[in-house]
Amino acid sequence: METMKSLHDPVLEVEDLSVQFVTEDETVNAVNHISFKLRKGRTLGFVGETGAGKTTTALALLRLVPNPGKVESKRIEVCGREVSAMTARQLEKYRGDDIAMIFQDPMTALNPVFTVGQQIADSILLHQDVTYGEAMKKAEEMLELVGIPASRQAEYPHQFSGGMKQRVVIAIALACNPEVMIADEPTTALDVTIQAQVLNLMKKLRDDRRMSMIMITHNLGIIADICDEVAVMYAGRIVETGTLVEVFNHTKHPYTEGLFNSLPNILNRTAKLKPIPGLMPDPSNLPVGCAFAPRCRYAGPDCTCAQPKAHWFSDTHTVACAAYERVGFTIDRPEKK
Amino acid sequence: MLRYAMKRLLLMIPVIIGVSFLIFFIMDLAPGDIVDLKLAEEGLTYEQTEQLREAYGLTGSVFTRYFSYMLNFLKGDLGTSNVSGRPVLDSFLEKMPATIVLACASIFVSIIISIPLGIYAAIKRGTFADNASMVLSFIGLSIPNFWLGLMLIIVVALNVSWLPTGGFTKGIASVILPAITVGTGLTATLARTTRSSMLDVLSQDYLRTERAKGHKEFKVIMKYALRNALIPIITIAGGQFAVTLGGAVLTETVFSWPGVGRLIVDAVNSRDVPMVVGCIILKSITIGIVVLIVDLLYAVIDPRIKAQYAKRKRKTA
Repeated sequence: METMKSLHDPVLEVEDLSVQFVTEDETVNAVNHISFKLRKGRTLGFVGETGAGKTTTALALLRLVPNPGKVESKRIEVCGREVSAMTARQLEKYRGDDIAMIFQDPMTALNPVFTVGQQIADSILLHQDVTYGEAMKKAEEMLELVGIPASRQAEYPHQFSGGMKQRVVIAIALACNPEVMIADEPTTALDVTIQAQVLNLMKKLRDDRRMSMIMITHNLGIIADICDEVAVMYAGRIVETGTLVEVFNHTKHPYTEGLFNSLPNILNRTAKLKPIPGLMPDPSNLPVGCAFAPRCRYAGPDCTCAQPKAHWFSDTHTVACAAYERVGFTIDRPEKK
Repeated sequence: MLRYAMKRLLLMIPVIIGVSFLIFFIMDLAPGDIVDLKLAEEGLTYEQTEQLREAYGLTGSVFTRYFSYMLNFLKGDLGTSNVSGRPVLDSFLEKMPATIVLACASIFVSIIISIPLGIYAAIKRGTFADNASMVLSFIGLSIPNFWLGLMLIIVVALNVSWLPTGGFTKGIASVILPAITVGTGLTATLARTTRSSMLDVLSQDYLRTERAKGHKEFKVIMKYALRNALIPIITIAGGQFAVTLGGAVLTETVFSWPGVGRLIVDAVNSRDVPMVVGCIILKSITIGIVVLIVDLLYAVIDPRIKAQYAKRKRKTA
């Protein structure tokens, strides 16, 4: 019974999370009232354009939103504990041990004046009851695990290539076997051949350790490759969420459709790309209604007056689009079986 | 590393030649010499002055005199003082301990105040605390040394008689006031450097990585951020330390501190050419060595700089 429970209970549950950056001149609404769940061993993908609030969401989970950010939420529960209620000491214990993050840019994510071995061992020393020597040994094992010879533990970040630095960042994040791993565009800064290596490595480690993972990316290919569930973000909101099949094959939201349309089609190389016209609205000046309406070809007068309600297409598939209030509305993208 | 240090030490030779020639030449340009002073004091005849000039080695062109001086310098002979008749090196070494004590004490005082202050200001950027500490450091920077020294003497030494007014006879108690006097300007400069350097580092991504590991904020700042911010800080601190080692003339005068600064100024006033030239050469060697140590410290702090030194070594080899 206990195992059944742990399999189906979410390890991470977020309800009504908002992040604002308040400055003297303006208030930037980076994340607006989003809710999502992540179950044990599953991978949730966040996809969306730059500035959609994906990274800010992830930082809010670690309570690392930089100043002057203000985080509000009904609930951020990780492994059954409320993150927003943690004391500084509980937070120190929680970060790195329960939840770890792989940062976007490996070039700047490592401290230039400490050896990579020290940087990995650091995390182990913080969370496990080991001596310095044991931690260094474990750090060497972690390096081997991500495919770097243990002998290089005494080297500094500047002696590594971009792909290897990203492996080190992954080793740091995984060092304490976290329940939840957040990967924030882990491959964006890498070239394509290395991207595949790093992704395969992450998949393998995730499966070996039965970790839950949040994958943040703007690359739909990575989502298809690694995720079980998808949340599409636009202007700080989740506009469509569902399982991988639901979102990819039974796309419902016009923005998700636009994302797919802007991908090049390998079967029809002469076809022109169909980018989504316009730009994402300024997060300090969001419209009252649907933020995507100005760029949406299905938009009607009903879209601009209020935030669209969530429409449930299955137990897992939700879409926030007002057009579904109209009888018989469908988007152009055909359903796939 | 060692090769680099050796190269830097060899580079000091042209510096010493340049400095010594310049000071020799300037002293020669200054009107009047030791004999003129004696003439005014004792009323000598023309023959006597000529004899004296001969005896002091003041005849011949400035170049021949410089050349013979440097020849002696190579043999380790810095000449003898025209005034006291004692070897220059002995006088210099005799005054050096007091100068070293003052330099160390003042740099110590300023580091323990300025670095925490600068870090605090950087963390609290834009707040009242930040502005207040920066205004404070601006005041510290603007206060003239001699004035601060005199005020400290009046208030702390004379009015409440907690500390001696001057000299270096009462051990640590006599160091405190001069160290504060020299250290105030230093503290101000260092605090501002620390603040700006820390501000630069605090926005770096790798600190977010450290926080995400679960480090305490204090440790993130004091270990992971500070180490990266140290280079500009030790550059300024090292430079100031070197200058103070050369003698803090005003402070030494105000507190009648038996240091090198006063030795040089007294020698200039009495046209004691061998003393001036010798002391300045020794002073420039001291400064050169301190600056070299600071440069080598860079490599200890930042492995990227160490890698550069190593690369240079490979190229020259």
